[in-house]
Amino acid sequence: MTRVGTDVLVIGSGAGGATTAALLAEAGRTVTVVEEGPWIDPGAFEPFSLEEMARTYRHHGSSAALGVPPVAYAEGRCVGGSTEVNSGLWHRLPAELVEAWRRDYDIDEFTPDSLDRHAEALEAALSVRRLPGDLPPSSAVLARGAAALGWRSVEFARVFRYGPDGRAEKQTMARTMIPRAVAAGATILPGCRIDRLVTRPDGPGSRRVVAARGRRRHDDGSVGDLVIEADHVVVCCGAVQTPALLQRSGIRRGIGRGLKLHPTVKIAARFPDVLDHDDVPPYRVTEFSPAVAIGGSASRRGHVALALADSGVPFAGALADWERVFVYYAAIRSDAGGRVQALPGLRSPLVTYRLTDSDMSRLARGLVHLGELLLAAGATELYPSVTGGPVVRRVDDLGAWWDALTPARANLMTVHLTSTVRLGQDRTRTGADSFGSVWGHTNLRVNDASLVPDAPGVNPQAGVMTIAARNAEHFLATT
Amino acid sequence: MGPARPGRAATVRWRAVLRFEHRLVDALCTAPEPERRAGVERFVTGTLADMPEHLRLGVGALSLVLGLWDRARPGRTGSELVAAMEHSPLGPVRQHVRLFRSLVLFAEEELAGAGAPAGATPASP
Repeated sequence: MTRVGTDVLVIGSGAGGATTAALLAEAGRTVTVVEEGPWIDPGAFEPFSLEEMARTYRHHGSSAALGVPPVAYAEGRCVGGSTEVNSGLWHRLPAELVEAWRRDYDIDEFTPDSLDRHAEALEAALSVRRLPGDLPPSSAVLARGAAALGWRSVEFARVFRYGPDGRAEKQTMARTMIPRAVAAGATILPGCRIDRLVTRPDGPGSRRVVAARGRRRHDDGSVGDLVIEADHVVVCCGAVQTPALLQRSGIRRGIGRGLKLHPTVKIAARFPDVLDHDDVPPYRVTEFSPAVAIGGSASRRGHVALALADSGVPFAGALADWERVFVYYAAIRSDAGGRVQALPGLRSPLVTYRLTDSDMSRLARGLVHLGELLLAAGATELYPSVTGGPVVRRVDDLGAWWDALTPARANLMTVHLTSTVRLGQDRTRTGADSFGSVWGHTNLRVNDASLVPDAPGVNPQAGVMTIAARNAEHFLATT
Repeated sequence: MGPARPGRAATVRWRAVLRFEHRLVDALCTAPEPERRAGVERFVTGTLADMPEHLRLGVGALSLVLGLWDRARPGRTGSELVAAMEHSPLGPVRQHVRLFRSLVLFAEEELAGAGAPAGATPASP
């Protein structure tokens, strides 16, 4: 058995956990970070490749929120969490959403200005910037289509550093916040899964975490028990694993309900010319934001094949021409909510999500808009991620997709999951207070995507890190 | 003897599941090279083994039923099995073959793109 004592235990090393660990360690706290997944050297695998999926994604990327239709999703499971496997796009939280969430959930000290201060510091640390030089062809498609239709569009910054030779290096947590935490004295323990938190009464109506119990996989492959005693515990396992751990520990009030995600439909679009396939386009069409976001997806050969297959029609000709095919998406902010539920005796929680009729209508609108855009940009064939959805070659034919996109035929996915332990002072609708302290517990906090009150309509990494930095500052000021 | 029976029965059932899933992957894989076929099978097997338990249980249960259904039709080729599943009036059967086709297709195309030897794909993380 491994026994560890620490001032602050951070469970999870993704965007929230790594930020928390770095800021607390640099302030002089004794910090231990445990991560269920392994340490993988940054850059060890080609981005979005088969090997990366097998080694750094939870469940090889084969998770799904059950419902009609189900929504496939992926999470990272390695030191650095999902920042190691995402596209590195950086969007500050939209100011109008921050204001709305502050009102709706009664969140203290939660304003665009207060968050921007933290966002600026993080942007400097992560080298957030736009792609140097001209837009790559896959991004130019979006820019060209938007210009032709008179729609708003924008190039987004990313967490990338570019060398003198133009070589790009994504600034993941394993390259940035984790080394900062280690340099400040933090201990990182990969291969450690925490099964439950042990709590004891700590005054009227209050409990205190006295230990975290789990299993540790050692370098030689052996597995042993792990017990960590800490003065403070910060859970940062993401919007699925965080509520599951809390539920397994008997903490259920306001935990796991209200899951939000961005349901996403895709189109495999064929063009006359060869496109770039090594990267995700850092470009978005914002004409319909935040309700509908339009952009480009990972489009390696395997992804193109999957997207073509999702249409359920013959696609051998397009697959043979895969270098001229690229995958684009329309993602919506949905009215629906979902739930994460830990299941007794099982390691993985049950995740459910129930789309509403208006969500399906919004998805169909997004699909048709995306089709219009791609045809305006010069696409010759569009294969929608709708089983039996007709291949479209002319704008006049897009109307068929309105009826084709039904719950039974839609093939949906997402990579953005949030809101399972919302923050705010309204105890009836939240699982934690305005700064992430779990209700009813004196030394237990959450500091990851679970806290984000609703789906932000953009990639959540910037929002998650910004809120995590804000909460870390509050922790240091109050404990 | 009593306590051993359920374990043995479960093992037999699980072998039947794996046998049917192996047959399905073999039927769906179009790559001619043995190395790539082995790589595809390793990826699919690893992915299924790494699925959330409740999802794997559902997939395994359906594989068990479909395996029994398939054994009742001796002499049917792999491509005939796939065609029968794809045209099944039952949605879950169509979704089952779609799941396997997606996994096979992704691995097959990625391995073709990489030109990678089978050993480049780990069996599990």
